[in-house]
Amino acid sequence: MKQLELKNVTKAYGKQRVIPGVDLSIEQGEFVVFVGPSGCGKSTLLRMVAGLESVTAGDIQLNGRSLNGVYPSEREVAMVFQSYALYPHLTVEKNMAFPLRMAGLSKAEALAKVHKTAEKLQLGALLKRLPSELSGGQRQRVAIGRAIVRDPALFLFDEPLSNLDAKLRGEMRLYLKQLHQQLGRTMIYVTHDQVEAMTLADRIVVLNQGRIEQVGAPEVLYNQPANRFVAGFIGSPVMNFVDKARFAELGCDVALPTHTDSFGIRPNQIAVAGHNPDLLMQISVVEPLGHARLYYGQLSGVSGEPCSDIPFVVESEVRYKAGDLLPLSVSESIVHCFDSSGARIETLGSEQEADHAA
Amino acid sequence: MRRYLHGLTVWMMVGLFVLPVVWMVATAFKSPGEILNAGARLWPEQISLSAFERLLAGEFPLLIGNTLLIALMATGLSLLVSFFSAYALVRYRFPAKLDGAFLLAVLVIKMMPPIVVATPLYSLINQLGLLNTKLGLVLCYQVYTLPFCIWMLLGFIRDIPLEIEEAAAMDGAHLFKRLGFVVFPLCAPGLVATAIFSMILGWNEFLFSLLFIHTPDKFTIPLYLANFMTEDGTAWGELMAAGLVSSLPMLALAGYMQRFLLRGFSLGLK
Repeated sequence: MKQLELKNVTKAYGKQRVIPGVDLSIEQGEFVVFVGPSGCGKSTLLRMVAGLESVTAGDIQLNGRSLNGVYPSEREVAMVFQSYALYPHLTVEKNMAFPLRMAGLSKAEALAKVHKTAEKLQLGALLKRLPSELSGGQRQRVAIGRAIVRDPALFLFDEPLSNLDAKLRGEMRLYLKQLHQQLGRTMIYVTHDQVEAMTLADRIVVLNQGRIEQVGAPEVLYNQPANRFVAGFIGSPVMNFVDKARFAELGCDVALPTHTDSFGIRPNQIAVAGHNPDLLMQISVVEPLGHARLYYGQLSGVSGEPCSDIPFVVESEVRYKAGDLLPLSVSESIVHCFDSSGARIETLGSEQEADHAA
Repeated sequence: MRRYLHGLTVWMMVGLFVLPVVWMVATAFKSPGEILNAGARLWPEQISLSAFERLLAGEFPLLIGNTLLIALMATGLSLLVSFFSAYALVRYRFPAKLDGAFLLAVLVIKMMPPIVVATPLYSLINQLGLLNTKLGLVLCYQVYTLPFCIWMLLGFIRDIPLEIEEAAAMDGAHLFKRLGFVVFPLCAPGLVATAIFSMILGWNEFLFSLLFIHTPDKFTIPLYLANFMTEDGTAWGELMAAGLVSSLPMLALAGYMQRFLLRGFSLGLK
């Protein structure tokens, strides 16, 4: 069932249109992640859903009701902010009770609800503390608790984990995923971190300069990126892109569709060849990851041509050192082809993968 | 050696500031005879409370109350108005940079010598029928205190992260609830600091009370103190005793409020 619908939602500051018109519908209970580089309009879009930014044109509907002109608190929407935005002068208990008290609940009713939610989120021991006495992770859990206690129809998260260190971020990611499964509520999550997007989302919305580049499940975005932008943004390490014309100079024999302008290969999908390599790579830098190694270098042909300046990255378990020539074998199934506008060209290999993913 | 020199300089500076205060305290406890005869001797030979007795027998206690009331009312009014104005100036966008122009105008008024505005104020207060009243004086003091309070609070309100207010808005707090439950408590330390300075401004003000207050029973303390210096000579004992007593309320206020100041700052906004 459709729960949230954005219809041609536009945002302009003066004459500058930051969001030129977005259409999107989100199903009940879905975990949707808006992802994109900074300045792509993902936070603005979220804030428009929250009611913190006005909508210049278009309509936002929640459960069939238009939200245009509706005050933020009357939208049945709760938001968790990047900076947590806890009230520093109130204890955890009072922070969580604040939305309930504002909604007119009596103190006893509000506290009963707060205690119930706090128990669920394991915040019970923190209730009497001030936000300044909590760690970053605890503050974020309190902020989430304050959102949950209102029992909203829609949760909005604005880069909630970006102030936490890497380890805690991993833990909180898991926590959020479990929370989503437990509550079954619709959640929209904004991040610039594609790993967060991949791990959390049912569906990812990739935004670039206020436009939606692609909407889809994480696997679909990874295996069938709609264009070069998505291909480059999703996946870590970043996909290698090579111009077809320059690639031809290397004398490599890989059949590419006729309209291909450039193609991409993910560093972890290209194989290091035992013998008869299709390509070589002159290794300049090696980064050990533990389970594998990242090799940075330049491509070169197999028949003794001088090394090109086409940069390339390979992730492999095979051990080589800087200065070595890494033998690579390229199969058509791992190649993502793009035309001159950057749009994806379907190849036999990608269709097979799509079937596999489905 | 350098350390000693440093210490010596510090103590000399402290001495420079403290000496007049010590002198005031010492003179307040001297008998009238000793004040005139003792020359440059600092400490009284015999502690005498006669200056205080004479002071308390007169209008002084009433005038302390007067001044306190006027300073409190002036501060209260200024804080109320400046809280809302500073909030509006920080959070709302004004067309054609009106906010900047307003702040500049306010600053210019504050920088003008008080005597410049005294004449127009006199005629204004006179027309309102508030000449020689506490309310009239409270309104006139706004010329001093309001610009000061607006500029002070501006900084404190700017320090409140917008996200906290946005969170409050999402939690159901409309503007006035947000001001009351979030903005006000968060800038409470700022309000306390501003209140102390504004109280001191009102407490020490001389010119306007000299011009707008005519009957001795409505005098403020600075005006009353000036009356000890007459053509026939200066009543040093009473002057110093009155000076001592009248500096105590502000000292007590600042000391008492400081606890809130420190507690407020330790909340950690960010």
